[in-house]
This record gives sequence, C-alpha cells and structure tokens, in this order.
Amino acid sequence: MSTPLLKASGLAKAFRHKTGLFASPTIQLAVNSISLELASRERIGIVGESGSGKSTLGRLLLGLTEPTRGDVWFEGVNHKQRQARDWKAFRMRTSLVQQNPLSALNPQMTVGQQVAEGLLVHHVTGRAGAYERVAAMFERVGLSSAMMSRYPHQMSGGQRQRVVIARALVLDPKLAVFDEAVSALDVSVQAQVVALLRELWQELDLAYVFITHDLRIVRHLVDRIAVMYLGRVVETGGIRSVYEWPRHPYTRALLASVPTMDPRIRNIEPPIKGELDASKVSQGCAFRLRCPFAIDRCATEIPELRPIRVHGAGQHAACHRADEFPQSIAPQIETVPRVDRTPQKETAL
Amino acid sequence: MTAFILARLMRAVAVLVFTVTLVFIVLRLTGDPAQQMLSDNAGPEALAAFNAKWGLDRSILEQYLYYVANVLRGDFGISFADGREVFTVVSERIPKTLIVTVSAFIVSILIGIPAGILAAMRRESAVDKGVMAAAVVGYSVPNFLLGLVFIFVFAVWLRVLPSSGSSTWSHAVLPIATFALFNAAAVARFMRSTLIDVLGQPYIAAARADGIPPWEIILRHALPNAAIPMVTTLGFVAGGLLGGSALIEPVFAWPGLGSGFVNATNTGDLPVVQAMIVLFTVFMVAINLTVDVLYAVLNPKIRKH
Repeated sequence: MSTPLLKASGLAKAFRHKTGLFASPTIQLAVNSISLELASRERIGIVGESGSGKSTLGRLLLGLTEPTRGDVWFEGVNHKQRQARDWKAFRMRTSLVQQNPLSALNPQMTVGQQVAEGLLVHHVTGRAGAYERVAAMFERVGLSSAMMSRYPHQMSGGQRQRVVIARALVLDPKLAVFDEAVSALDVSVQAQVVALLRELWQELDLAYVFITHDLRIVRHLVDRIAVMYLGRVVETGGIRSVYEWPRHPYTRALLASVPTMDPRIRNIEPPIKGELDASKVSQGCAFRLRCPFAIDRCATEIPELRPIRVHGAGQHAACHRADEFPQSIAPQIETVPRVDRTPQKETAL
Repeated sequence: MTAFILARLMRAVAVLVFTVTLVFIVLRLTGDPAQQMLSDNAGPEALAAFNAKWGLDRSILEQYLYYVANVLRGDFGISFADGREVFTVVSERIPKTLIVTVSAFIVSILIGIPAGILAAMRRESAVDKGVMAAAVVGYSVPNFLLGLVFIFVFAVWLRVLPSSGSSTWSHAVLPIATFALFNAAAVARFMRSTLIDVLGQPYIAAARADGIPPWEIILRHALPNAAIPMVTTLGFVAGGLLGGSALIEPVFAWPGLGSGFVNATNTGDLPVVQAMIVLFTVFMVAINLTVDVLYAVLNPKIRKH
C-alpha cells in the first residue's frame, strides 16, 4: 500500500490546569492515544461533543500544537523531523478553516489581501499574478471578484466563510482541516457552504478532515467518520455503516439524538445522562458513568478500539459490549427488537 | 471622515466651555483669595480694597461674563502674586513642562512597547517574567517617591546629575527618567496583555496555518489590531503625564506648569490657577481628540463608512 497522505499514531495532548494559586496542577488529556490514516482525496469526519478533544486533534494534525506523545506524518514525513523550511512547505500543502469566519479574518486587511497573502509569502506568484489567482478563487467559491477590496465587516457571514475557504484553498493544498467550519452559520447558509465544499472536493485533489458536533452535516460531506469521547476515538468506520449500525453506545445515543422530521420514527435508544466530565473518570471506560449499558468490566478495563465484524468494512468500536448491538438504528421504527438494557449499577469508583 | 472629525471638534469646544464655566464658579465658591493673598491680620478695609481692585466684590455672573469677554480677547488677567500678565506667567512655563512630558512620553513608548511585545511573544518565559516583574515594581512605586530615590542615588550619592532646577539639559534627565519609567511600566503591561489577546484570535491561527512567518504575523496581523486599544491607553498615559507634572515637578523644583500650579493654588493666585486649569483642559481635550482621530484612522469600521 502506498504511503497515506496523513497518518497519526498514538497521538496524545495533555493540558495542565491550575485550579488555584497553591493547588498542584491537574493534568488532563484532551487527546488520548489516537491513531488514524487518511488517503489522498479521502474525507474523514471527526465528531464529538464540545470538550471531546476534536479541535485539539485538528491542531495536532496540522502541527499547530505540539503533541505530548505520538507522531504525525504528512506525505511520509514526521512532523518532528521537519525543519523550518519543511514546515513552510507543509503549510502550503495544508490549510485550516475555523468556526467563526468573522474572527478568522483580520479586520484590518481587505479580504482580497488576506487571500493573496499566502501566495505572496510562499512566492507562488508576484503581485499581478496573485491578483489573478485570488480573483479566480473568489469566482470559484461563489463571490464576485469586486468583493476583494472589501473589509470583513462589510460582508455577510456566508460571504465571509467563502472568503475563509478561498484563503484556505488558494494554494491548492492536499489537506484541509475544517474545524466546525459551518457551525456558526445560519441553516440556509450552512446548506450552501456544504454544497460548495462538496463541489470543490469534486474538482480538487484535496483530502478533508471535517471536525464537527453536527451529525447531520457531516453525513453529506465525508466518507469515513471517527466519533470522539473525552479524547479517545470510541468508534470509527465508513459513514454508512456507522450511521446505520453504530456499535458504541455513545455513537448510538448521539445518532438517536439527531432530531428527525418523521413522526413515525421513535427514539428507542435510552438517552444518556449527565455531562462530559473528565475529572470523574480515573480508570476503565471513560463513558461508563453515562452509559446505560455499563457492566462491572467497564469500570476496570479500558475497552480497546477493535474491529467489529459487520456490514461495513473497517468499522471499529471501543466497547466491551459492541457485539451485543447488532441491529440498525435507522430508521428506528418501533418494531425494531430491543437489547436487554437492564441498567447496571455503578459500584466502585 | 471629515464629518466625524467635525463632530468631535464641536464636542471638544463644548467640553472646553463647560469646564471653564465650572472651574470659574467652583474657584469662586471655595476660599477667599483676599484672605489667602493678604496676611491673616489684614483689616476689613484692606480685604475690601483687594476685592474692589480685582472686581471680586461683584456678582459671580458679572465676574464670569467679564472674564469670558477678556479671555476671548486673549487677556487672562493679572497675577495677584506678582502683578504680571497671567498669559506671560503661564506661557513661559509651557515649554518647560512640554520638554519633560513629551520626552518622557516618547521614552516610555520606546521602552514599553518593545518590552511588551517581547513579553507577549515569549509568554511565560524568563524574558516575560523579568519584564513583568520590572513593570509591576515600576508601576507600584509612587512616582514622586521614585523621584526622591533618583535624587538620592544620582545627585546625592553618585553626584552625576543635578537634583533641582532647569538651567541645563542635565537638569531634565531625572524628571524625565522618573516619569518615563513609571509610564513605560504601564505601557509594557498593557502592550503585553493587548498583544496576547490579539495573538489568541482565530485569524492569527489562520495566518500560522497558512505558513505566514512569525515576524510577519506580528507586524501585519497582530500589531495593527493591537494598535487600536493601545492608542486609547497611550491617550490615558499622555493625560496622566500632564496631571503627574503637578507631583513630579515640585520634587525636582522644575519650573513648569505643574509646580506653577501648586504654587498658585497655595497662594490663592486665582487668575493663574484659573488659566492653568483652562490650559490643562485644552491639553486633555486635544489628547482625546487625537485619540479619536487616530482611532478612526486605524479602524476600517469607522474609516470606511
């Protein structure tokens, strides 16, 4: 097999939290031993609640944050081996699209200047050439090139996000990380931007890492999905198999919580309770305190991400009881058989 | 843009008129200049003669209208203390104060801004901690005390600089240093926190992800955005320098507006006090106007309307 475009292995990032002046800092793993591979033109969705570590993962993949442990390779080169010049080349071949397009744009520069900056800094073109490329890029993302001389505050949210996308793609990168790229937009604008991203992917030689909490959006945009919970990937696989046959109770609950317009569809999944709280979990499965299916084993043994033999190839789940949830959850019409879900009392902690 | 500046100018004039009026009334309601100027055992005839001479026996409204009419003609009256024109008394002190405050302002910017930038860029490093510790000390020590310490060290102990007076340039060194260090500390602290705030913005992360070199991120993205809040702060610093001259100048017997104001207040030299307050107001209004205009120049949201 050829080298993957992007590879991460055993990636971890710890943050120290100081709770008080004299308190000893507590260490929290925002990202905990994550491994993933991404081929050229492949699109992966990273899904999780806020605080699951998905944005940190995105920053680690782009080398914007140093990992505490683990390695990232891009086109076969380890981030740790990169010299300043290699980093510059890497930055040309990757890009980042962030959540709020207003704060992602410098209020003091025209949007045209900001899109052109990468071209000029990397000496891809001269000033005249940059103008041509930026104008073409504007047209491509659905903006008139007359808007190049505007300042960010003179544009609408959707237009700004198109500018941010233009800036990210103007250097013709091989990998783009979208960190909640459409979450801050109105629903109607969201649909337009999602359509634009699908179109651009058709035209370009570009792989996507799409980080989001919105399960509905990611479904139309990616080939594979990784579900994160408290810094770990709890389930991963092809988008169809994970959406239809989720094997981790957390994925099941997340998918079941997506509102649907069909009144016949009933949510048969027991809802999860509480909030994501890393401080309560010291050993065992991080999800067990909120899991309706937790058993004694979950408190002692961390479930490894393991292959699940099912419909979709390459589906993995990190749950001791993953094989006990064979049924599809979509569409959840009431006739679907139920698993035994006598809640197990949590005893030791 | 022109409309914006015109509106600010109108407001500046209104502030000036209001201040002159308020100060005039308050000064005349607090304290009796005749009693302050003449000795305690001056008889009632002497007091009455003094009041009649300077028109203090007339109604406040009458005095006010008379005063405003004269001021508009450039006549600020006669000093009670030495009988000279107030205009001369005050204007000969202006350059003295400007030498100290303007130099101190420039020095505090030259020290404070690079120090703050360095601290913000090397956040949590030894450089940052060193700069911030120095800034806290500089900012916490009262500036008149700092002045006394400087006099002790450089004039009394090392004997390299004069402690008071204004006859040569070397006389200006200690007042400028005292003022500049105090304000450099304030500027450095604010520069650091403003820049750290800007460096945390998503557009900085975007620039880093695009491979823009660090120095270019600072120069093209961070500093222009940090400049807007900085201008406001520098306005406060400039205002503080003028106000602080009343504290610093007496320490070094520096014959500027600050020590002149303190003297005039102590002796009850009403016309001089009045003129100086008006002058300070003019300076403050001018500083604020400059800040407003710079703000508009720096901020495309105001500029492009």
